Amino acid sequence: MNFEKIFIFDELKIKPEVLEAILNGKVDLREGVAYWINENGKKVIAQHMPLKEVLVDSSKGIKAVLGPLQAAQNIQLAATAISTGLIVGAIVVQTMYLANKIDKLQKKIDLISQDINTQNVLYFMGQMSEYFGVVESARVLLLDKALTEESREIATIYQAQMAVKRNELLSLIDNLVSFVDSASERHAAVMFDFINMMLDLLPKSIYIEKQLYDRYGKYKMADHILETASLRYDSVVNHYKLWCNDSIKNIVSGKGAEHAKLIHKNEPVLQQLFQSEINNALLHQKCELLEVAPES
Amino acid sequence: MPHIYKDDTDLALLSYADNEMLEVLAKLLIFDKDGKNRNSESLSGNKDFINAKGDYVKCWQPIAAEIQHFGGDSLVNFVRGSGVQYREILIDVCKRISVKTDFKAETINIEQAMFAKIIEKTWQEMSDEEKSELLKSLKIDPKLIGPSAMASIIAAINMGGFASYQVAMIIANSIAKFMVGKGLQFAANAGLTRAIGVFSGPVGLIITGVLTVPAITGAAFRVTLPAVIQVAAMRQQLENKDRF
Repeated sequence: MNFEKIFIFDELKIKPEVLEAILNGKVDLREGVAYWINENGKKVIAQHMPLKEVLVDSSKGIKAVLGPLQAAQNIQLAATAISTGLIVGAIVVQTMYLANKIDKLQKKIDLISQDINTQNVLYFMGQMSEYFGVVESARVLLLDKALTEESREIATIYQAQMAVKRNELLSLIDNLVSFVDSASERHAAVMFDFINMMLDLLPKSIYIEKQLYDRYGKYKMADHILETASLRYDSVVNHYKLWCNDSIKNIVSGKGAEHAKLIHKNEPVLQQLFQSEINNALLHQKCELLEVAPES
Repeated sequence: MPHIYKDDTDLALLSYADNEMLEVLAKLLIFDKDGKNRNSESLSGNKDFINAKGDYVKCWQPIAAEIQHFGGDSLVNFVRGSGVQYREILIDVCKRISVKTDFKAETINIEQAMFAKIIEKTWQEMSDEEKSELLKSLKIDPKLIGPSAMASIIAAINMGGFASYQVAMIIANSIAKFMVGKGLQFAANAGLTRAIGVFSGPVGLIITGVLTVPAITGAAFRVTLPAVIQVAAMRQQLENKDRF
């Protein structure tokens, strides 16, 4: 167990009218501040969101942590994707959750690099290590708002690196999916695991990337990054889903599939990935809020 | 000695099958039409089958092994330690009910030819109203009559897709009602539900007829025919939906 303190919104102290506006998607939440449109059509601060400190066990999965936190929340808010997105966002940024996941992924990367000793795979595995290195560095910057001014320059570098490497990574995953069929059983199992871990991690890293723009007041860029990265992520996930469905159809029609047992064995993981409310809340919630709360 | 499942690409689909469809398949293998245990069945005593406690997906391999054993000769099964491949059983069933098709074709195509043959046999027993209803549910011009109607139905089934799925469900449902005593509870659209209601009688009659013709019947055939129909229907069902 690894208990860590995080700050989440104290829903009991949110003004009722602000809470209602949040529930109706009429609020733009940025860096702990709720904005809405006033009667003159101007975007103004509705409330500085009240925070409360809670303890979470970051060694557990997000779902296990999320459940009790949401159960203790205002029922109205708890039932929404907004609540999921906000709490998961807080866990991702403020705890070692992502670092732990990246550690596990790094071990997987090392395993693949040892096993598949070809130049292109090694190159991409290197890229991946670098990407998550930048993501973790960005997360560390986000931990302390007092660093905002001093870290502005380094943040700009991280922002550029994260965007480039994220795109490379998404292309790699797309290619790896097609590569699984021709891999040996052992390699395919490692790759399969790796793809599942990557696709589960990426929405969290995209969220961090978006937060990094928000922190420095680059709201339009934040929205743009979230929107375009989400689209690309969804397309890669859909391609992967299609591959899984096609592999199963091949089994059904008696044509066999190279690594049918892998899909069968990993079915719960795949179901969770394809129907992940958490990933969906992280990638799509803010866009919905912003549609009704344009910049004045 | 429990039957051993021999890797069979044509039965691997059972690992993805719906629990209800597997339950019907297991019952077809265990019980005869009167609800008594078949003399030669061993599935009900299989440890994995018992331990699965109705979660048939967990014990799909013993179910598949039972099909393979029913398809093989008992003595030969004993010597080689396993039954025969599903495809061999399917072709045997098809030949017994006079299906004329290319037996080198893919398994799913042979199964479609089997469904077409059963529908063809059923067609002769149907009233004009039932024929028109079948054509409507398969989206074929209901004004067609005689051989041209039948030819259109066979063409639609052989093309695969939704028509062959519908026919498979109609036939499998009739078999389930006739042999197990209850129809399938899968989610079907209104048209298919209506068609299933209309055809369970005529299809049931044909199956009864086929199973009681002394020249083609036998203890194993009384199991393999319904089992093959059920497996083929499961394939059509899974072909028509995405898993994720």
